[in-house]
Amino acid sequence: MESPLKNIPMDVQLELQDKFEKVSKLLNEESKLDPPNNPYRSKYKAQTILNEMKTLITYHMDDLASDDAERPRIHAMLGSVLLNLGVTSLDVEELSTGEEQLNNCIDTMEEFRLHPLCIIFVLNALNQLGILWSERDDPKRSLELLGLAEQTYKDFKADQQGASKAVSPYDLFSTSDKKDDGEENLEKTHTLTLYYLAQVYGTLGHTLKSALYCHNTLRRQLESKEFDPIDWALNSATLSQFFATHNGFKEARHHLAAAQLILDRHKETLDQQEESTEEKDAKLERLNHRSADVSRCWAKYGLNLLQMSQSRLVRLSNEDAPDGRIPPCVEDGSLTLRNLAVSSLISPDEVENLTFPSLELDVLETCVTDKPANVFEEARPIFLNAKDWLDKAKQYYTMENHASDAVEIMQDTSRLYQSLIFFEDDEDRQSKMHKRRIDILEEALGQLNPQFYLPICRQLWFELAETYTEMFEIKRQKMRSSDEGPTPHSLHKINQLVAKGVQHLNNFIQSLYAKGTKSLPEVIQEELVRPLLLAFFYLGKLYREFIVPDREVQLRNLNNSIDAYKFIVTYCDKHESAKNLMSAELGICREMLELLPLKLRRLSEA
Amino acid sequence: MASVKVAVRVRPFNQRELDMGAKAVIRMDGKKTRIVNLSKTAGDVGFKDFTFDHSYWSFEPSDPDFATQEQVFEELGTEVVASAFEGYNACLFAYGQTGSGKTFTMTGPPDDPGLIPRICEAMFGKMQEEQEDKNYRVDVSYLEIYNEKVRDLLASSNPSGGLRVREHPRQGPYVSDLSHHLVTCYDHVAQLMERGNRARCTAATNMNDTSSRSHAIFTLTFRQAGLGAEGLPCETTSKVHLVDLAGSERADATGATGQRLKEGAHINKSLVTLGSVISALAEKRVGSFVPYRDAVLTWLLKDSLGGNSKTIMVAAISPADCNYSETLSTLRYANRAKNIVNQPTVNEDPNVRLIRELREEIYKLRGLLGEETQPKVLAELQQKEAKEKSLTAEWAEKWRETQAILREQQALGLRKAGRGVVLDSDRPHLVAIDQDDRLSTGVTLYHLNRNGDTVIGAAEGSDIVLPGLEPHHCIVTLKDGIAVLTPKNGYCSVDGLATETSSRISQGSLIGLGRAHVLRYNDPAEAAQLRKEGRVMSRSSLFGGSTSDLNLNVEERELETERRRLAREYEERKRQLDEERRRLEERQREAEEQLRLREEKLEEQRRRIENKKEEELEKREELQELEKRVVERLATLQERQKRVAELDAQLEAAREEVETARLALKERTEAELQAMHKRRASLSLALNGRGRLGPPSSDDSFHTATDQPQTLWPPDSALSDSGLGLASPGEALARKVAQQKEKILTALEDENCDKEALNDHIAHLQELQREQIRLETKMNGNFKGGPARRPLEAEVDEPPITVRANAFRRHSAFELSSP
Repeated sequence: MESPLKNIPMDVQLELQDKFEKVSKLLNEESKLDPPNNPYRSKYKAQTILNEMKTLITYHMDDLASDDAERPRIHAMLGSVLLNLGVTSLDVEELSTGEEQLNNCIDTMEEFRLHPLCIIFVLNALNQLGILWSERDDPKRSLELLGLAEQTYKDFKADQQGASKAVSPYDLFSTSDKKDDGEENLEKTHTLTLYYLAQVYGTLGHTLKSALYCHNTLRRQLESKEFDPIDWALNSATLSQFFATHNGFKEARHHLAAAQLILDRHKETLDQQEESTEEKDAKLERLNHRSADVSRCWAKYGLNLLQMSQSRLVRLSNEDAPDGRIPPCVEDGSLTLRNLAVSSLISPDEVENLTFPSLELDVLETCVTDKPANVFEEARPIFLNAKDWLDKAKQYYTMENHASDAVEIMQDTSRLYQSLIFFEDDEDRQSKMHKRRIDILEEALGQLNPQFYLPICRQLWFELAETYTEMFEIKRQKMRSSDEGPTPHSLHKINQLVAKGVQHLNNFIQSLYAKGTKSLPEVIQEELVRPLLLAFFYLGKLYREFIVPDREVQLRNLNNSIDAYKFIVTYCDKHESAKNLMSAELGICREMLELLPLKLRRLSEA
Repeated sequence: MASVKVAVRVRPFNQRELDMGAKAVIRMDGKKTRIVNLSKTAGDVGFKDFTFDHSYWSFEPSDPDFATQEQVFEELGTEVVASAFEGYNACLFAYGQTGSGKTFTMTGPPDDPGLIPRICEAMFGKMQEEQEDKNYRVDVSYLEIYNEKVRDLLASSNPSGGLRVREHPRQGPYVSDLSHHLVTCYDHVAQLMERGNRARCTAATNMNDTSSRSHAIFTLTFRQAGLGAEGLPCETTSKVHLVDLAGSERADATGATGQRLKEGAHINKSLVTLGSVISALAEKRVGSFVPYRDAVLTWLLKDSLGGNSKTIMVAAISPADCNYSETLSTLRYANRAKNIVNQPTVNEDPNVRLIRELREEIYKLRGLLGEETQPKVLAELQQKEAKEKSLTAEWAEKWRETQAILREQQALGLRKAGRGVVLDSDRPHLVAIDQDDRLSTGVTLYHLNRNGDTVIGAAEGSDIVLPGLEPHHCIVTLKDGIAVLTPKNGYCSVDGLATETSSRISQGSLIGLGRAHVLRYNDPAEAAQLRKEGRVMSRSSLFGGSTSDLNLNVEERELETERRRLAREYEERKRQLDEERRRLEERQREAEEQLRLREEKLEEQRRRIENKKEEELEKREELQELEKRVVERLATLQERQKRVAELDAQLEAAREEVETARLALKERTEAELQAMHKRRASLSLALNGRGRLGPPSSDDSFHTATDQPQTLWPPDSALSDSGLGLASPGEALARKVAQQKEKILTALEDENCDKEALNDHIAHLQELQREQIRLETKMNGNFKGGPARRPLEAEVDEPPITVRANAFRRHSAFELSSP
């Protein structure tokens, strides 16, 4: 507690304390019970009392000598009153008044802004002004104010070096011995500053900055021990998704491990609660649900790592300088956030230590690497780990109860295989993995009712066509490189794969038919135009991949191919907007339409 | 069709705003909505414009462009109804802060109903219209999502963790244990909606909250069963979701509900919303999994957002300046509403590879197809080729004559000189130059007879026949390379000088004949001689030269003209031919069509005949079958008749026997009676002295005879034995049954009646009816025998079926049942 003031009579001090308690009660408790037709009743009451307090304090402040030892405290008291006035004004939608009061608050304490008595009010006032300007659609102004709050906090910490602790508003007016934890209050206020900064950076498009502040917010929540474990874990896992898609695999893994640990701990606590009540069931359901979500985040991590490894190797092989010089990033062998930091104009040091030092995460982190894979032997463990997580997630997200999530998991499994295939050299094993993908996707498709899951079904038709095409290409490659030339069996296999690809593309196209008809509508839904035209584009190619001796069939396939290109060109000629969507493909289609009829003629003349 | 339609509607000032002296900040113009910023703090007066599918001006009823409920329904609601009948799902959202007119637009007051009642009414109306060949079934559910928990607003209680949201692979997304209520008319719908709204309000008060904090989804599931296009039975199900989204108040800082759907520019104050901030970060990339919080709403509407569904969003706004920021955020949200629709994502990777491959293929094709592959040129060339082919044919035809002449007239030669065509002849000749007739085209060349006369005149038989001359106009005599013109009857001139006597003509001389004809004399031999001698300065040659030039030009021109004429003719002929070909093709097509039709008809007839044949065959078979059966039947009948006769005989015998016995009995009885009388007489005689004992009028033997039936049947049923007295016991039962039915019906009228009691009643009723059947069967069996049972049974069975069905229908309207 603070000792009684000399400059203010005791009865006035008691009155202030009494008024402060009343205001606290009005704002924190009674205002919640205000009737809808008078929603600000308690706040208006609080305003009156706060204004009285302001008058009392100002009266005694005038007499103070400039070197009076009690000046900081009395200024802090006035600052506290002004802060409360300002916040209340904002609450009752008197925005400009509130702004003025908050500015006054900061002015009053300017001299002592780093004083333990004042710091909390200064930070709060800056936070509030930051919110105000954000709501006025001026995020830059908001950023300035919140940045100042962050700096002020840092200055205070540096200045005090932990010597004296911040004093809570309650203690400021209290004449008793009871002590409120000012330090905790200060830290909470700073956490809010960081959280607001995260949002403002997000609004301004500085995603990495925003992510850094989100991380800091999470870290501080963890340290304050005031958080909902499931929310926290989910947030950490979600943040990992940002890192994992920006080459920050080390950070992503760390955040996932943290999420996992917090969930495991929470599960233990829940398990210790003995009786099975309805409430506990609900809690368990939530835990299982969110654990499955974190599992899926883990799986996405693995998938991203494999995909990133692949594109890295592709890039390297393209960069392969003729003089045999190995680009520097290969020696490094890792993918990091550094590049993003540099392009975001952030010091790479800032992205160095995005960790939760208070958590013991080594064991969880060693389950999977954070380094890109170069060879199959390195890719395989990543694949297996991710597949494990998907299998785990599948236990909650069952087909029976969570159809679309279950299908998404199956799609991810297929993608995992696809990523692994890149590292596999053996054609037969590549084929087998593609077959595995096909089995998974066809199983998913077979179970779904297109009436309810049309978008997913369309996705699956597309993916299946893609997979069949990839598998077909492997077979064709194999046939071409074999010495014995094509066998009837390999030809049959190839035609089968092509036919399947064609079939799935046609399924996709037919799903767009106008109801009750057997043709496409004149105008296609905007968001489906590109997928549809692409389907025709793929079809145009696939029809020409059939290997058949019969000239009639050849002609038919070639005609189908021409029709597919014709559809694209005709649609684009009719709809200007489609032209832009197909800018890369349209030229090719036109050329094909010039050449293929010649080929057709040759064929029919031959 | 655009998958999402967005409409904005502004309401009039409310009393509170009028009291505050509010100013209007909304302007509308066509599809455009403008919000004006009158805020003092901002200092500047700016505005923002938004364009929507509809902007409804419902601010001042007296305005000419005031948008009525009717208009809003016509433009938005009818589409919902239509798509539901077509089998599409539809989704109607209302969005906006509390008091912005959402309820007015969606529900409306009874005297000016909003979208929901109008949509329902239109749906039930349409069902009535189309009921003929179709069956409809509509059920209703109503739920709210509060803090990600789903509550059934039409159930009496909800589990504390909320209902679970599930997605079945075949049946789509659903809420497990959510109640569904069968409805038959709009009143019923309204009733349920009101009930749900009440539940929503109470719950909100308990939680110390306002209703706008939760999303509410009212769902009509609409099933149509009927015969499809090919006469096959088909059933379609469509859902109409009517969604009241959580409001956009600033107070909504703690709940994450609706956060994802909302404008993210403003700072969330509470750390509870950290998740949505992080989600927004991660969501920007594909390939990541973002377990966002607001899943339930989007999840439940999955089958309505995206895919083949109609989505309409109505954003309700207040016109007043005091609501500026809320209104702005509503407009911004509405502006982005299209983003809530799921869009298919397409993997672009294979595309890049494919494009590369196709480029290679194109390159290869070009090589393969060689020079031809100047693509456009080639196509044109092909066309030209075809054209040229026919052109050549035409020309060949046309020129055959000419060529014949050229061949025949060996002296003639045709050659090209630059652009001109030169007709060469090595013999002296005349070339006609029709100076006066500007319209004449073509060049005529007359060879002169070698060493002899060439007669020129109009008369037939002249060597050179020219119209408009005298019959024997003149003679040109060629002898030893010298040509002499001798006029006969007509006017002649040489090089412009009239001559009446023979005059020599030389190379290049112009000969005038009559009024119209001018001929030029050419002697190649002389010309060659002249060229050799270099005599170019002679008068005649000067003149001749120039005329010669002229003549040549004329020749050229005329050749050109002839060519053009031929070309025109060719074009014309070609056109005609084309026309002809088209006509022919047309006729052929028609003929083919007719042939096809006739074939079809024939086929049809053939089929019909075949069918008939088959039918006849069948019939004949049937007939034979029948005949066989008749024969069989006759045989059995005869058999039976025989047996009947036998039986008759037996019966007759038996009857006789009985008759005999009866007679015997009668005799015996009478004898006994008489004996008895005698005995009684003697007894009474004896008793007369001792007083009365025992029944006065019955005797012992009579007693024993009537005792037996009385113990076998109870008094009232005893009558049925006679076959007349069915009335009494049956009626009692029937009465009981009727009473029981009455009881059930009253129970059904009573909403609160519990299911068990009802079931008891029904069971009892069935029991009674069974008894009735038993009784009647028995009675029937008693006096009619077996065959009569059937109709009776059917008659009795009917009522319980209808009652049961009735009970089910009414029942499911009030009770819970899960999908």
